[in-house]
Amino acid sequence: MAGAQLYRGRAHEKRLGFSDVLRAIGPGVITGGADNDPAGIATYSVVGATAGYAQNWLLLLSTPMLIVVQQISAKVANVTKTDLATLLRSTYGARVATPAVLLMVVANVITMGADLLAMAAALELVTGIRFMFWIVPLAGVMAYVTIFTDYRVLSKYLLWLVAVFATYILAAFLARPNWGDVLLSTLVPHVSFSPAYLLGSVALLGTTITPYLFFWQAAGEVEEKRGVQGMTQRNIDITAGMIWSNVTAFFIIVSTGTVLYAHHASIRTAADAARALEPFAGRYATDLFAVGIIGAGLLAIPVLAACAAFGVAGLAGWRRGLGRHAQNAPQFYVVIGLSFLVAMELAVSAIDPIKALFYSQVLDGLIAPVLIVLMLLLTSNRKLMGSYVNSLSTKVIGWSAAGVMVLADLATAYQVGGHGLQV
Amino acid sequence: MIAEAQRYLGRGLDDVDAHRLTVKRHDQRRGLFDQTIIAAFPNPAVADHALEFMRQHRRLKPKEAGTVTSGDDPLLESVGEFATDARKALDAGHGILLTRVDETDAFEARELLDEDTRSIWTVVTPPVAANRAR
Repeated sequence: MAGAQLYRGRAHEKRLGFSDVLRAIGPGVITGGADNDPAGIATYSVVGATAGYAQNWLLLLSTPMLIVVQQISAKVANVTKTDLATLLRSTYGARVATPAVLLMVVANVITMGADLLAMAAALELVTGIRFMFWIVPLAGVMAYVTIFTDYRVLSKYLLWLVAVFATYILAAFLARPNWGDVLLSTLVPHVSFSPAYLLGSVALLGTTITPYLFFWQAAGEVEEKRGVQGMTQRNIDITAGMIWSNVTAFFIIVSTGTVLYAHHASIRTAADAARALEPFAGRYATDLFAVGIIGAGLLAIPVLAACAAFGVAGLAGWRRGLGRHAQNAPQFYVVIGLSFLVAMELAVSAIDPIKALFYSQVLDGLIAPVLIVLMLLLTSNRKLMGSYVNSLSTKVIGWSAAGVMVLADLATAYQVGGHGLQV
Repeated sequence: MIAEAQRYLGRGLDDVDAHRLTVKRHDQRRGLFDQTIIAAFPNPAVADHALEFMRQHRRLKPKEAGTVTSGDDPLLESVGEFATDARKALDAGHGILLTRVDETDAFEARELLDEDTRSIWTVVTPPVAANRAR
């Protein structure tokens, strides 16, 4: 019976040709671009500089996991016609939904603060003006843009600034890594139980399979009112976007691993991180890195603030959506404004941008498995999903994602407990 | 549309803001799937108001809509396992509104009941083939 329903339910979905596949690719690439925010760039750079290529296998492992988690975020929104926070509240009640969503909100605001710091540090690199003086103007401009303009339209243009990070691909080739080592470390898992390696693993997984992206994907489906028709095209789009995101991450690690780790250089400032682009850009590496970080920040910070607001508004049942005017969804936009204020305060108080960026991703790595488990339970619930319930392969990959992240979290907690916190 | 709206300036309209006006390509076919939305309200009177509010909506055209007053109401037969939740809410004195809409309208209908009429809770049944919905 279930099989028959499934067949009837999806009978409208025709086989896709190559041109259909190309046409399907679009918004997912933007989401993939937003995944590589300044915190992500910093994390991949720190991982490459401290462990070389040793954690490349985690990127390969996390790619199908990231794709599946994003696909189920889109699917659950398209079937239930609402965002994740609302769905968690209406399915599991406020006792489960409130802590899960508030953890995401806290992680987002901390990441916003760290991203603001990174943008300010990037501006210091190119202007010479102390980063502290850039934080308030940056936060003010971005808050204004998020609240008073149509951010979803703007983000399509901002993505071109993030395309700068594609230069890491060229930089990696020009740095002449030992491709045999790169391939080996990508295909053969190498596990170390040192606190630095484990923290790096949690941060790498947390910045790749990142909680705010689940909420952004689901909120995007609801705002665009996409629905269950054309879900195959949507999945192709998400797959392309997430592969692009992880390919960029892979080459960031390869170039920082080749340029910095091989020469025992660590990353303490944004200028250190920019050195990985020198094989491609030479003396312009700093400028190129700064443009990329500013573009990534402009793209990601409003997304982080909006996801925090979607979460809180979903819990409270308030009107929400970036497509609405501020006066039509006042509480939603107040939460966005407050997120910017708190993030600005955090950025002003923090003293080490690279550490702030890295530890914000560790926090994401701790929160992500909780949300993945909740989403898997939602999308495996036949009452909610009907014939769109998770397939066996989706369940296996999804639970593996949660399992790998929990294992990394536990091993890190155990080792950090014994040896202290050091990056 | 903009010109028509502008003719009402000074007669109830202060201004026409059309900067968000976009032409959307409708690549979703209507009539393929239906979804039923169930919303609980503090009492039956509020549920009736919400129903009236929904009927006045310009674009939303429910295929079926009504409030439920008892657990034996035949409307509850179409909502599968959600009927249990609806009956519990009715036992607690809440009002229940049910509406069956085309899947392409379901986002708007849920948004209306979830955010604009401030239901206690709103749930949506999974999409089913339109000819099997009843």
